[in-house]
Amino acid sequence: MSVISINRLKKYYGKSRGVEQVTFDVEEGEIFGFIGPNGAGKSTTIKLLLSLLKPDEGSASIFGMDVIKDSARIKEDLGYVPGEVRYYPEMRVGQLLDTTLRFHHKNPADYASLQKELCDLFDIDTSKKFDSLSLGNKKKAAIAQALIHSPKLIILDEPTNGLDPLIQKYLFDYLRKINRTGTTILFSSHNLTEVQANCSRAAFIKEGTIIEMEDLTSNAKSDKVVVVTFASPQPDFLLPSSLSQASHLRVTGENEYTFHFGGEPKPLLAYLSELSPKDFAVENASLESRFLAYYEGGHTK
Amino acid sequence: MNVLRLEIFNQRKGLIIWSLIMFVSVFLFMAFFPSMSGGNMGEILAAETSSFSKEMLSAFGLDKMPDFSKIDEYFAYVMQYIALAGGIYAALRGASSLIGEETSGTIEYLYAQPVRRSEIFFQKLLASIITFFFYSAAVTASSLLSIICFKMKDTDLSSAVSGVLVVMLGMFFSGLVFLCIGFFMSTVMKSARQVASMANGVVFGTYILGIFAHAFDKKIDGIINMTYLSPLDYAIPADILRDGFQAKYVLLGFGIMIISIGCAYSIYLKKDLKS
Repeated sequence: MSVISINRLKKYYGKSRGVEQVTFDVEEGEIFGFIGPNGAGKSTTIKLLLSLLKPDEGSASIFGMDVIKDSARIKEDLGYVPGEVRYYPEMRVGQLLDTTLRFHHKNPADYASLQKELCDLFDIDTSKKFDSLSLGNKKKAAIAQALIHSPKLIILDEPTNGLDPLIQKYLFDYLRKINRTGTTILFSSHNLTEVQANCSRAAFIKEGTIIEMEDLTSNAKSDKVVVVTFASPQPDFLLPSSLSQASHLRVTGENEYTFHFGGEPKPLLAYLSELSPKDFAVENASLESRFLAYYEGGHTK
Repeated sequence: MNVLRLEIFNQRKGLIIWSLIMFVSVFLFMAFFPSMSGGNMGEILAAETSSFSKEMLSAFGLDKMPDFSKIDEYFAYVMQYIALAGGIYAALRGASSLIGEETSGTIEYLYAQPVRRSEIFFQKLLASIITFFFYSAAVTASSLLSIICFKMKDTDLSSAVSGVLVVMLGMFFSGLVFLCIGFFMSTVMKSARQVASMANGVVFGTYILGIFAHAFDKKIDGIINMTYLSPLDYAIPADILRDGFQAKYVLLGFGIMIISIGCAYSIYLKKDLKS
């Protein structure tokens, strides 16, 4: 069952593009990564889901409810961490957590133990006012307020920006823990390692359009990156039609070509022996190599 | 009512500062009353202004020269300037209410909570009205205190107190008109950085229109009564103390409030909440 369902969302800010065509689903119980370079449309998509922005075209639903008409009902079970945390400067962190609980019709006293657990885990001082917090501490407080009411869905916009590595580890440990109890998680990130380590699927967005969905589970990791180096320039080098599962060819160095391959090894080895390269390497494709393949130099799938 | 509570929490510092300043200002203005009432201040003022044209006197509310030996008339004269400050505060409150959350980015927190836009809109409006009420209460308290402190021996205290309350009701009413205009502007402004110039522009702009209206005997080419465009003229302290509220101004004021809020509501439900 889809917790988030996005169908052909389009949003322009005047003449400048926010998102052009965004379509993807996030299934219940998934940790879903949302990847793209700056300005690709990740935050715009998230703000459309929160109904902060109204789409020009398309629709989206969360828990089967329309994100515009049923926004308030959806948010009963939604926690959100913004990319840039800008909360009320005069408010203390403890007050923010209590206010969040009251918005969700929950008594702060009933959540005192969860508040203590989160504050201990992320090393949060609840007596501090927001305007006295560092970037990282603001982010930690924002994470705590998104988790404090035990939501069924958590949306995090670049959650690890400003966090030290230890807190990043605690965050993903905690997210995986609540994911095992059924919480669905969508997070956008530039950090491909954390997406690969934590997500079951990821969507790549480029210039406002979803260009690829990746299955990151172990059985989908058979995709290889092949690097071929020739002794002399090969200006006409192309992938042969016999390698139907080869893609994303790009020039990565002097006489060096890189492409992705996801099929059986036999035809690949036969092709490589035909080429007589000076050198070659075959390794498992990382998310980073795919990211570079999608975004680097216009050589996309 | 979490939005209401949050809004009042966020506005409390501004409210306290404005209230304290106006409390002291009213008291200091009124502290001049004993010296103004004694001697021949009225005659001196009349002599000094005798060279002014009728239009000039009318523009500054001196056409019906107040009797400064009477504390209620002196109070009404002072309050026309206090009402100007009240109008600015009300317009600022209204104008910063909605756009402030977008400019500061806090809307990303607020609208991630399970609240409808209509709840944000009406609770913020109510919070602005409550805040302005407390401001007005502080000015009223200072007015009553100063009347008690500086009244003449023969002043009828109950009459003076009822005069203060009527004038304050007028100030509250014209302030509400500015607050609602500000609230409307809050939905069309691009940034909270425009709030101060907008609020001052609306209040001083309409105030100057009112001055022109009085200077030109309220009519330009007989087309329009220019005082209709000046909310401060809906409740001129000396006039309502003497004649009470005029129905046409009360109706006009409520009309402006309803239209401003209606337009603001319609825009706010549809607009992008940018941060």
